[in-house]
Amino acid sequence: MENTFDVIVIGSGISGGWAAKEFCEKGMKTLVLERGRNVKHLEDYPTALKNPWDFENRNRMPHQVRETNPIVSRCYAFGEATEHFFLKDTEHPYIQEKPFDWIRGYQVGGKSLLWARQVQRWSKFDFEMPARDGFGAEWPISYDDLAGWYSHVEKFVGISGNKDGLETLPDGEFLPPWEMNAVEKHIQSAIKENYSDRYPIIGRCAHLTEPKEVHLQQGRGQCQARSLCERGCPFGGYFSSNSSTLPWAEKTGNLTLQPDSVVHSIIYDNALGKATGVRVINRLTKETTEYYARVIFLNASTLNSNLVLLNSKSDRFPNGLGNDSGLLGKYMAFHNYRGEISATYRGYEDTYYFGRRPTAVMLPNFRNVYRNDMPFKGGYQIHFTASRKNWQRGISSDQFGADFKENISKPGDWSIYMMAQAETVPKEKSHVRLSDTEVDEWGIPQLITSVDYDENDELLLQDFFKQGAEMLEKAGCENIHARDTGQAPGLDIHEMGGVRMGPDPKNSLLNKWNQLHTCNNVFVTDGACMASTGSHNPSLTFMALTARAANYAVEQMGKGEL
Amino acid sequence: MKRREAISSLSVIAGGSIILPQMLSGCETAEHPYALFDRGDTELLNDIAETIIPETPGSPGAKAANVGDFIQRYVTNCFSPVDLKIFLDGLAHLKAETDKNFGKRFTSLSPSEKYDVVRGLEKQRTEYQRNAIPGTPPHFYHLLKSTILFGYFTSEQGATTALRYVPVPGGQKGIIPYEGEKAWAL
Repeated sequence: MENTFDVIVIGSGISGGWAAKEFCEKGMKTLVLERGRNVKHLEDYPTALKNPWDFENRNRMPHQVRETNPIVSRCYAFGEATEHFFLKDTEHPYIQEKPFDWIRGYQVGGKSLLWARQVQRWSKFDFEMPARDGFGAEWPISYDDLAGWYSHVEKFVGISGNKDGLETLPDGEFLPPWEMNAVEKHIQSAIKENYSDRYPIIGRCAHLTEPKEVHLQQGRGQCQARSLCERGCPFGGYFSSNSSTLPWAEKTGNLTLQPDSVVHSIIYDNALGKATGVRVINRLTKETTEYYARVIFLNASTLNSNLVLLNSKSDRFPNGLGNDSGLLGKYMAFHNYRGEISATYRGYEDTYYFGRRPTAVMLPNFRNVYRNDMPFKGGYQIHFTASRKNWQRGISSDQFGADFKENISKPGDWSIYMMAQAETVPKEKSHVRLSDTEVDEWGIPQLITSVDYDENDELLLQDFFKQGAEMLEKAGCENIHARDTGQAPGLDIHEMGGVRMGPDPKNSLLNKWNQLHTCNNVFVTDGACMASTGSHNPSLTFMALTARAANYAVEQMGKGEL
Repeated sequence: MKRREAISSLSVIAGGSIILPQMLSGCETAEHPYALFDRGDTELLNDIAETIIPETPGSPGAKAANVGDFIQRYVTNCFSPVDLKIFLDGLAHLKAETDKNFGKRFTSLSPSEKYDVVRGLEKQRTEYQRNAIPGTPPHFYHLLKSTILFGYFTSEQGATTALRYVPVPGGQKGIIPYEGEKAWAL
């Protein structure tokens, strides 16, 4: 039948791409719906090889664009080189009941083109802490349920990392690690010497330091350490849906990738007691079409997956698909990125570094690991880098002329940048919901965001400021300055929740296989499914959950259960 | 946009208080690409920039990199209205002061006179910043110098001769010995 597939995947970003790969490999005819335009690997990376001087404003955005699009302009990666991969604020409005910077990439590949590519496994503590310490719901799965799927994903994605043997940040399937520089190593040693519970490591990231056969088969090559990743990589050096999972799925002959397809809602059939397909509005013509499948995977990105379910209303589910508990859109959380510390270090002037490393030094969470012994809940991961100052130090100098030029043409003293990635507590009042009055260009209700910081975030932030400064001080750093960026939730681009997993249908939406408790042929495996935020980067977990759920779905389809 | 219109809309943005007679002179005939600037500003800005970032052995200066052209484009496109007004006012003031003190344009000054003018600007900025409280708008020369440095070190000439530009490193080394070489451009 026309418009009928085995599986429909809504969204082509980091998790949607994984769903497509797994289903297509298992012989399922799979339709991937993407609301934005197509972006083909290599062909559609127009800025990938440009030099700084090739950009009209040397990669800075015009004032007019920033003024008109303040939200996306706050994203560190938004510039002349990347603006074509970011949604402008004006293109899809939403309502901020409380400030929330919603950063979006509406195209094939979604934000997998733009992500920061840091991929730490979550530890058992990340999963267990919220229920253990009473600040979150129980996860229906443990680290052990996911460990094999982490491996499955890591091998295909290609992840650089060092085997560090840490309980708080389990090792994975690693390609060779990136290297720390002299000052980073110095700070690492100082922290290890002074604190028995703190062990800084080189970050693990989705870059091919040494491609293996499976990566070469994907058409990807070694990362060249350019660090211009957000433009799309002409070498396929980092993982994106565009460079990896989608072309892999396409090779099976089972993939239908359809861009420009805005999903209005999932169609629920009362008599059958399950979902039968999705309603799609063509982004350009606004024409509506229905597509049908036995299984639907929702991977539209955290907030948009919430939006699709909230807008999927039926007699059975008047408040949104699967929303018997009334919790759909609630327990929305994110990572607190407000804490920054800068410092300087004197020494090691006789060393430098080469190449632009796509990761930082990471200090896995060391707070509340074994028990809740701090005055706050949850933990935080610290990222830091050391680098030698560049010509910008000349701006505030009162020198000029030939000697000045020679001087600032050379590397300056070392400076250190440190930041925290902190867990936030999912709360019922932190939520998204649909507007009753405002609709978007496609007639779909606009999303209202009502997500905020709380007292716990402030306490945790103060702890980071104190601990971060103390560690740098013990390492002999100077000019240590802490700064609260004051940024709104969302700018971390780690929004999670709203359709959380859980063992009990009364206080969760999804079961341990990411199926809606009350509509089991709909799976949600992007950030929306997360029951808590942990303190480590989440994308790897989204990918592992997706692969696990897709393989479960295939099994159940084989048994005729789905 | 014609220059008069541009200035008039800018005046509205900035509170209607700017009067920049220098900018209006000769505007009817100029085919200058930057409506907020005079035709002669390219040379003026290049000369100031060259005083700050001169040619050195093996490395052309800011003038050869045509930083003066970049500054006008960048300031026009990317500055906020507040910074733009400070910049244009400051530039006009600089021209007027140079005329008054030397009886000629900056571009006609001797190297040591140019040096003195820039030294004077550095001094003005230092004094201005000494009294600044958080939220104080930037000094004209601070905007000028930061734009000159940005324009130069991201230009092809600056990035490839004053710095070491390696677009495709091919790999990474955490620690290499350093013996006085130029910094990496990226």
